[in-house]
Amino acid sequence: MASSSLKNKLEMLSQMAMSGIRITIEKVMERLNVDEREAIRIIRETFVKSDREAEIR
Amino acid sequence: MIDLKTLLIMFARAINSSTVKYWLLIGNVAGFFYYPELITRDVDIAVLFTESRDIETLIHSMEREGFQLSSEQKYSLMAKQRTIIYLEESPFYVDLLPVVYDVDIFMDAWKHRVTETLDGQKIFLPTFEYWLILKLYAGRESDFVVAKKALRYAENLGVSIDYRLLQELAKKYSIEKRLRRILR
Repeated sequence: MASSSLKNKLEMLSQMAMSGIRITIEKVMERLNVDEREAIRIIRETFVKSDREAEIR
Repeated sequence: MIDLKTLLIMFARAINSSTVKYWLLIGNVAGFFYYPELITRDVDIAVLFTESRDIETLIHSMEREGFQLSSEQKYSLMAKQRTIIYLEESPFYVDLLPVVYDVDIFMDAWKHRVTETLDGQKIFLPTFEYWLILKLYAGRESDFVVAKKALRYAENLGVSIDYRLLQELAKKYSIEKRLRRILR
């Protein structure tokens, strides 16, 4: 069932993930008055903290 | 800003140029190829270190690729612990999961893997059935939801699903009840 158009699907996933996160980054930059790099760090750390359990050990 | 696809390609380039032989893209990025309604912010990579040089060469390859690893991250990897790998320029990250306890199911999935090539890099994915079984094996509530939705999606598309294999694997890994829960 795996698709041969992996590149296209990955591109789609990547764009979807990016469009959602771009808005969040802009909001963090505005509300916390930080630059993009700092906003990215804050968001990434928030994601990591909420991602506690591993799928395989 | 570095997107999810670029992050995966960079990581694949790093791991493929290390001595690591056994790795699989799992989680929702892998699942997206079977059920394209998933969304994620991390790239889950399961890795089995079998050679003494594997960890050292992987660290070296990642650094050469531009991943800046702290001492803490390096120690974590050397202790074969779950390690978050990231680039400053990306809100996404690689959740690197060294396989220590679940070697059997990992190797089973690896042996039946699907290999794809992306920008010259080999990417290893579990088949749909193994992807489902890995989700059920993890057994988190969110995994059941995703596995069930992915299964319905595939069924509605008319995709051929090897139910017999699913039953066999569920029995092998003692997760029959979990499988029944999504087959209902």
